[in-house]
Amino acid sequence: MPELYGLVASIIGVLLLALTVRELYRRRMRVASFLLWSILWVGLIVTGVFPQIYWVAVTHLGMALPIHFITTFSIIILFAISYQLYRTLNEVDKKLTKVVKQLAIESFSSEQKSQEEEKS
Amino acid sequence: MKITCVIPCHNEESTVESVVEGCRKYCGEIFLIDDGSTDETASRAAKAGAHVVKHAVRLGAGSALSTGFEIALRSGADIIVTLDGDGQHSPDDVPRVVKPILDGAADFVVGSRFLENAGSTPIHKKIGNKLLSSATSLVCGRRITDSQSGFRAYTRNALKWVIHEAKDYAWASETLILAARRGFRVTEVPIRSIYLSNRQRGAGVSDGPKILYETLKRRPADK
Repeated sequence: MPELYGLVASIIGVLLLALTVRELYRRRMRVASFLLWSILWVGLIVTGVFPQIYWVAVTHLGMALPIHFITTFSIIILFAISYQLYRTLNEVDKKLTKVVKQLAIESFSSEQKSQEEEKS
Repeated sequence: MKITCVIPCHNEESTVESVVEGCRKYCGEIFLIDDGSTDETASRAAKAGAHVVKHAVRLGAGSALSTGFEIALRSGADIIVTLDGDGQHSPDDVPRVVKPILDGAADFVVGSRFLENAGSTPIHKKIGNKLLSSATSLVCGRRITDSQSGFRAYTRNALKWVIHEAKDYAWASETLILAARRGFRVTEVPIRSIYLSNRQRGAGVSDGPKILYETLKRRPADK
């Protein structure tokens, strides 16, 4: 019988998985991102129901307690997500700059053209 | 020869009119790049006689200048002069900056605040500029006394090759490095700089490390 905290973790995992599926269904999420997040939520659900899985990982990795495993890998995952967000933001910033500049130049050029047509 | 002025601006309603009016004495055409201003900068510049090009959102000094360069080249400019819209540069120095190009002695002229008396330049800007100019000189392979000056003049041919990618204040060093690499003749002339105590504009202390990094990461110019 899973512990209460395990059940809570599993329920949260199920809810988040449902939200993620909904995002994919509404085409608000890419397949790659969906898979990544789904793996996380499924992992949360499974370890919530079968917390003894942590002991297997802890033993193989030479850690003392499951909390060490959870903390270490949570931090690594968070860093990876931050890095990916940074890369995405960088790309978006470049595209925004390009669009704003192009818009400014095109808008100015068409204003000039209208003024010249009015004069002639 | 068609001399065109490019002035990047962000919220400079108090100084932009006088800068544009001053430049009109020396430049055939003035393009003011309004970088997402939220005040009356654009309308006052247009009233003073500038062609105003607007960025919908603020992108940074470097982006405003590269937009201005594109527009100036499309308009057929032979000599492109850039200066700040915050009143730091005196438009009456435009002839001084343009002279080496008109004499056929340079392709790219930098107005240096440090060739003559640095005047009222704040101490932290003097120190920061010294450091950044030393770094730029190292990468360019030639001595530059004021690598961060925005008061410059370019021939059309030189400008086509030195349009920078930097969005922020790192553009200043980047264009110098590109010019050095392409073998363009770069020279400096002394200009006046005006610092009003109640207006602190331009690159700040926090911009320094980034500009330094962007400068030093470029390999030195081949000799």
